[in-house]
Parts: sequence; C-alpha cells; structure tokens
Amino acid sequence: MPQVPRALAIFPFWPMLLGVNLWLIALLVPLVLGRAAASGVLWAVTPLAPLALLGGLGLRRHRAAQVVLIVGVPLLILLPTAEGALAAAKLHPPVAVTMQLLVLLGYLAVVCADLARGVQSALGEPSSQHPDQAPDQAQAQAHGSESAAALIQGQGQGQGQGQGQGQGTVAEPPLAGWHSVARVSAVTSPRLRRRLAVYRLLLFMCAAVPALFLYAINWHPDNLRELRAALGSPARAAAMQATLTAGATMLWSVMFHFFFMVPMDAHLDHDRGLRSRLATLRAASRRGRPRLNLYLAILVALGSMGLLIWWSL
Amino acid sequence: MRKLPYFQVLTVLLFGSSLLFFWQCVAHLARRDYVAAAMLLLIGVSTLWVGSELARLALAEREP
Repeated sequence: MPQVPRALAIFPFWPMLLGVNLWLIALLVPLVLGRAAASGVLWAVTPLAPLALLGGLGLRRHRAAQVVLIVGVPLLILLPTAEGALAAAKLHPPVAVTMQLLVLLGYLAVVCADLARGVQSALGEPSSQHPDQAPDQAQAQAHGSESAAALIQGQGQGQGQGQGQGQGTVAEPPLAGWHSVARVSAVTSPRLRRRLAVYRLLLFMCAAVPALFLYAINWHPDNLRELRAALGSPARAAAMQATLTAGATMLWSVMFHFFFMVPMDAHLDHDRGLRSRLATLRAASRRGRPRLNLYLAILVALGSMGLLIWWSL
Repeated sequence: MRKLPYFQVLTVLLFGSSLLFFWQCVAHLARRDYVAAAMLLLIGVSTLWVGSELARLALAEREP
C-alpha cells in the first residue's frame, strides 16, 4: 500500500482545495472587486476562513474542529458578503453564485466524506484484524455467519493459489502483494440485511426531509403565491423565504443531531445507556407499579379534554 | 392458554388515538381555532406519553 505523505494526511487534498477555492470565489474576489466600498473590518475578517480551514483540518479528530469545518468555514466565507457593501448584486452575478453554490456543496461533501472516513477507520481498527477487511464483513463474522476471508495472491501474481484462513483465527498482517477477499457474500445474516435496510432508509430520510422543507419554502407554487399575497412585494417575500430557509436549516440541523446522530452514536456503543435504563425499568416493573409519569400524563390528557369541552361549549 | 398482552394492545390503541387527536388538531388549525388546536395537541402528546409508558411496561413484562 503506498505511503501517504504526512502533509497530505494532515491536510487532505480535496477539502483543502475546495475550501480555499470557495474562499477565493465567494469572499476574496467580491472583496477585491468592491474594495472601494469595503470597510477595514471586512479586510480584517477575510483571513479568518482559511485559518479556520487549516485549524479545522489539522484538528479534525476533535468534535469542535468538525463543527468549525462544516459550519464555521462556510459561515466565515459567506457572512461578510451577505450584508453591507459586498452584498451589491453587481458583485454576485448568477453564474458566480451558481459556481459558489457548486463549490460549497462539493466542499461540504468532501469534508463530510473525509470526517466519516476518519470515524470509520477509527471504528474499524479494534474489530478487524487487517485493514483490507470490509467493516460489514467483520460485522458478519462477529454475528457468527459463515463468511470467511481468504488470502488470495493478487496484483498480477496469478490466480488459484489461495491460502485458507479459518474463521476466528487471529491473522498475521497480510504480506505485500496479497489482498483479502471474501469467499462468500459478506452480508449473509437476515438480521444484518434488515439492519442495513434500516440504515439505508435513514439515509434516504436524511436527504428527503430537508429537501421537502426546501421545496415547501422555495418552490411549492401555492406557498409562493400565499407568501407574495401576504407580504406584498416580491422582495419582501424573497427575504421571508431566505429567513424561513435559514430557520428550517437550523431546525433540521438540531433535529438531525439530537434525533439521528445521538441515537446512532449510542447504537454504535451497543446502546449501553438504553440497556441500563431498561434494566432499571425492569427492576422497577417487578414491583408491578407504573411510574409517576403515567399518572401525570393521564392527568394532563384528561385536564386538556375537560378544557376542550369547556372551550367548545 | 396464552396470556392476553394487555399493555401491548393498550399501547397500540393509545398511539392510534393520539394520531386521531393530531388529525383533529390540524383540522382545527385549518379552521383558525388555535386554542382548541393547542388543547388537542396537548391531548395528543399526553396520549403518546401514556402509550409510551405502557409500552415500557409491556417491554418489561416480556422479560423472562
């Protein structure tokens, strides 16, 4: 396996390239073009984005640096041009904005891919015995499936000189020129297949829900018509759309963190917290009495029903 | 004779009825009756809460 240069390992190529590119086309070019109107504060905050990018990439093992890379760097690049002297329309022609959007999407995609790869490799290290083994294969082995890895001589050294490797045997690190392949399909267990289907469904949900928000706010014809009718002018409607989009993005980010990432993180940790809570609950349920929450919820529901009846009369 | 899973049946019933409350809440919102919609929302959430408590008991009951 070729050795990765140290600088490239610390500062990965694509996030670095796209991050610097985004900084150039979204901040530096408008700043230079509108330098007559730009204030000293704008010049002062300009270097913050590349510094944040460098710091974030260098320290990307830490959670705060990951937040800086995904949220901080785009904000530091885009906020100075959002309002004030650099927000003039002539500094942001549609072609340039489209280019900025594409580079921003590319930057976010490669940063997320790089961060995910870092997490994946960190997770794969203790479970798999050698780096070429696929994570799902390792999981399948952990679940007691019949898949077994075989070391096959590869890269131009001929075929059919396989050397079997028994399941559960602690393998030596593979020699150079050898690679590991699975003899049978890695995903064999129905339980694992169901789990993968759920993961794919969650992935689809992560793309579909924000897309639905964006469509409802920015493209749904009825909503657009209502917004224009309610606010009067197209400019005010556009401002409201931008605010709603920002609000929906923040709402989805919060929901994504608390209702998706936190449970998935706990799941990777084999749901230890949930198990301990269940054990506590089982211990409590042996007494045969429900918790106080049940009575409280019943009280709230009945009280609300009474209020509703009173309101309707 | 197999024991009837009371808690599970009640949980399903409560979850289903909470959906009805939420549906009624949306209907009241469409009629611009915000107070009634807020009360219905509260009822729906409370019903879900009761259902989740019973689901916990059902889960604990399944433990051998």
